[in-house]
Amino acid sequence: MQKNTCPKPAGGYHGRYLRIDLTQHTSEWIPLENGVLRNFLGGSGLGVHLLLRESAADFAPLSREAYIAFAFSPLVGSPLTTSAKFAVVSKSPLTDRINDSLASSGFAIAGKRSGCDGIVITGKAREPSILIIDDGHMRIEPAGKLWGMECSVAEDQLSKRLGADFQCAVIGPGGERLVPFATISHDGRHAGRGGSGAVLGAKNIKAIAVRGSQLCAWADPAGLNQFAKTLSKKSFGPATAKYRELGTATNLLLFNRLRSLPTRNFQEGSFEGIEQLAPETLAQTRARTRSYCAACTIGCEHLYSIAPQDSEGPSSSTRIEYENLFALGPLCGIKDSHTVLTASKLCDEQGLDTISIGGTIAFAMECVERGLLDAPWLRFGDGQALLRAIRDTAALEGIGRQLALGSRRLAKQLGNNAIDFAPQVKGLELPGYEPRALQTMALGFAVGSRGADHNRSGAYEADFSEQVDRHNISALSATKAIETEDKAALMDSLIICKFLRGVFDNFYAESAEMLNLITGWNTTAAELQATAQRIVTARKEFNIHCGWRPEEDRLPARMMQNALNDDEKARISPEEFATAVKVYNQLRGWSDEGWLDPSE
Amino acid sequence: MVDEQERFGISADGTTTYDTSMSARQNKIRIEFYGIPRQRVGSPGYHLPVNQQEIQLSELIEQLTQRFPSLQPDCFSQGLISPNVKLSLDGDHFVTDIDAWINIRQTLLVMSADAGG
Repeated sequence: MQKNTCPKPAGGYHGRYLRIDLTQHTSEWIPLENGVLRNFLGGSGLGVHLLLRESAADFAPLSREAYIAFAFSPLVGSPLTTSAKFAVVSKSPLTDRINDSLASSGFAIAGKRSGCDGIVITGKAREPSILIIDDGHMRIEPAGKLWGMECSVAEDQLSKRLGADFQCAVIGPGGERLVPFATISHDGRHAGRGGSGAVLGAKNIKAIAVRGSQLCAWADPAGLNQFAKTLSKKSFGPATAKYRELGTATNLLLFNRLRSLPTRNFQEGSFEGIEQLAPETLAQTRARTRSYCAACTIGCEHLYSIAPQDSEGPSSSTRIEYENLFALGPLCGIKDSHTVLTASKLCDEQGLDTISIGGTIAFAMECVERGLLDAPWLRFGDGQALLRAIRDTAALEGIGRQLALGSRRLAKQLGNNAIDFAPQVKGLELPGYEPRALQTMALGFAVGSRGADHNRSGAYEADFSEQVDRHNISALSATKAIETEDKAALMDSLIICKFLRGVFDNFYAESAEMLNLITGWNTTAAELQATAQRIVTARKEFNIHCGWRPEEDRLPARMMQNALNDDEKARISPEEFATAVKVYNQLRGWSDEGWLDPSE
Repeated sequence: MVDEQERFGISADGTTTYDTSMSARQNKIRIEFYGIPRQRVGSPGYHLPVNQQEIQLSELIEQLTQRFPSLQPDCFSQGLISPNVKLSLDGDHFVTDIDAWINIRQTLLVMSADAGG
């Protein structure tokens, strides 16, 4: 193993990443210059930089040569609330474009204590294996009986095998079978979108276990502690009350009221059975507990018992978020809460992204209705059909072999213009924000480098304001889409939780102060704004290397042609939408079509 | 506690029930609560009696916080709209101007500000 030859890194950094070749069974330290770290920070930003550096766009995402990066950040390990996060960045097997998914908790802290700012993995292990990084030293062990186990079971077993001081990120059966929307799970949370679990599965890696003792210095420990105390205090305030008291699932009733709750494969914007799924109702009939990520003061996770309190027998619980309730409930026409909670738990255990599996099943249900798919049992509203479809997908059995394609590839296989109503952008299934009812968000979906995504674009914030008319996209939507996309890029690279965003009075200035206390830099709000734009551009650059074309920046045809069945006002003007995309590209400094060179 | 007649109810099958007829809404403005505001009020909604056909938002906030003191300070503070909530008229238009007028044909939605999911 080579020694790091990098000059003394900035505070909060090790100044190097660990590059592992599973085929060669080797690892090496690669220096990361301070300029690179300052330009890309960490998390999503550093991850995409590392992939560009390794020319990862050139390889098929499930090939032996493919790369996957686990990127930490200068904030990891600090006393700052919500800072224990890591990004998993790779070329997506679902979209063939950039994918950066984030997860939280002890893996981030232990991974960084390995002595690196990121771990880049290429090659393929000879057999199903566990990748162990022990204080920076890499070894590979056979996965043995762990292969085939559900996520939580595998993580628990591995922890017992290696010791509790190891933190483990695992894939489930979905990742082992290369389902292109398989997740990487850690501590019950998932780096969920875009199929990073399949990338690990293709490398024969069931789990990565990390442990370490190498700490980073901070430039101003006393100042950082004071800043962290203030931030934590603010995080207990009303700006995060929604997440603490109700969780994200409380969006259900509001979105339903605004007819922006995607229902039955985005045919309607409201669902007749929504009250049964709302956390306000679930809390009346089910035991509920809260959970926290490591180093978090918010505690947004709400776990509900799957069976009602008055039922007999043992009951397990599952984490409930707005996105899994929406995708496995209204989107599939399911109103029975027991079924939806069971489906959510099943996805977590099999290691499947709930949004993509829900979107693909809902799409398949509509295909069955239209006579395009021969599976008469797969109907909107049939809970048992939903559960069967999820199990079949994880097992790659029966119709699961088709569902495991994701909605875009399934649509292309079925033909008959099914692609027009496949709920995806760039192959990534849409989250629970109906684009026709939230048209600035619609723009954010269309231009997003990861595809339709609510974490990389927070453009819905503008729709929920008087700044724009949510039913009429305009040129102003482009400005708002950029503002929220840049902000998300910075949060995902620092990394801090987006649920903190409401506590900042001046996000960029406070982020600069926070970063300076750790690194010793003299960065400014303006510099961080430029950094955010650089990271967004780097993602676009990666996509261009992958073969991106301007026609990818669009919504499914049905969303451009038809209003919602239950809201005539929810109709997109194709001309206004095209103008907004063009303005977005111009404001980014790109060509009208979206090429990085404005002259193209 | 709020009088039952003034509250929106939750029926046995879980659906929100409220009388939307104009007679029931004579000189009342319908207000719906979502997220934290609903938690603070303990009810999905309320019909606010008004003397005339319309009312300024500032006056509405004053009456509402008198009726539901628990809305302070998280949702309203000193007659102003907290940054932690948003208000929408009929779900179509968001409103921040407390001098805006609201009439009895409109419904005011009071919701948690952050729609992140």
